[in-house]
Amino acid sequence: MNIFRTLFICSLAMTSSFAAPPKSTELTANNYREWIEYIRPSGDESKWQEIAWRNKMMPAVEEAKKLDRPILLWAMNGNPCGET
Amino acid sequence: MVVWSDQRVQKLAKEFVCTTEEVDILFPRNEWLINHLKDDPAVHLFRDVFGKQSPRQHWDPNPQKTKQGVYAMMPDGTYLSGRFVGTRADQVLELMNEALQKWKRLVRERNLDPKAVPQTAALLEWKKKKSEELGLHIEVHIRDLPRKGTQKTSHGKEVGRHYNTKWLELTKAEAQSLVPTGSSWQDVPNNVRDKLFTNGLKDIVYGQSPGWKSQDVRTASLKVRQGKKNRSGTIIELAGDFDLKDNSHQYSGKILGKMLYSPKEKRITHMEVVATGFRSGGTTFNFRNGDEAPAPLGVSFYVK
Repeated sequence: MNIFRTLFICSLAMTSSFAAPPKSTELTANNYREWIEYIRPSGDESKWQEIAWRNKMMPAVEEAKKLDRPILLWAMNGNPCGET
Repeated sequence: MVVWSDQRVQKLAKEFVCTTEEVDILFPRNEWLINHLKDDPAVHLFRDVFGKQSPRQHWDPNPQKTKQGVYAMMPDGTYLSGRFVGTRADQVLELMNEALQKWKRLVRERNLDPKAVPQTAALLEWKKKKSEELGLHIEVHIRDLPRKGTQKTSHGKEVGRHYNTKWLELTKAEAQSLVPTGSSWQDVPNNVRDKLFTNGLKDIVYGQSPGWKSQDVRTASLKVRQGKKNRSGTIIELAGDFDLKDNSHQYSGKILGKMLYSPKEKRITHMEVVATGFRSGGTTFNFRNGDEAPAPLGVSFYVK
């Protein structure tokens, strides 16, 4: 399995707010940044990144062994933290 | 996932070593992967040790079914808790509390000596590493755009409430080919244009979809030119259009945006590019069933 591919088979069902779309549906040099703001995740939508996720299972297992801690695994089609 | 934004979840998460992972390399389902990973310790731990202890309602025994979800375990694979995909904050909280309760019992039984979990940010470290290795490491987001006269898709989803993310990698040579030599429009080489289009312009708002094949590129153009210069470098303007189509789905539209080339770093350091257009149809796992009619879709390409 090589580095990266698509993420999150089940899309991210959000209840948080996101940016308003531009008034014009036409993509123009004047509104392209508004479209980017609309498409990119809002601050609320990005909060999952505030958790100290490791991005590989076995190093996390080794770390948990050393720390005597349990593991919380988020397993998805496509690694949410990118590296697979 | 909004579940991870929940403050109660974030607080409890500090008790665990939290990790993400590609589920198919923990529980391979196709023959090649099964053989390739037959001695893999992560597969053994997740599938053979943890999975065998999981209650049936949280672990479909069918080996062909995905095992996406959230799971809690001891480092030796001892089952603590788990939920199949589709988890909500209250379900994850329940899972975490259940897991911590069992773990605390095991701390006593096994005479463990728990230490604080370092709150490192693997995602940020990974992004930094990739941006140093690559020419461009592009964060791609995909979202349905507003539809006329309705806030619901034809398959009942609220338009704009769902998005997906993927990463696109350009080598240093590929990234360099996006840097124009002057202020006149010039074509981006076809291989780089097609890589951006076939890998980036995918309708994966609700699921997965394979990349477009080169023959699916019906028409495509992508041009760049130098714009203004500022203290940070030279603005690069980018514009183009695309029509991608195979026998089950289509996406066509325009792409527009700007990048910043830093002469000091000799590379593109910022990218804000967006594609908008209409998609139709669907693929096996992109969950467009019932929403095949043409509807607007947007894709952003971002580097910062």
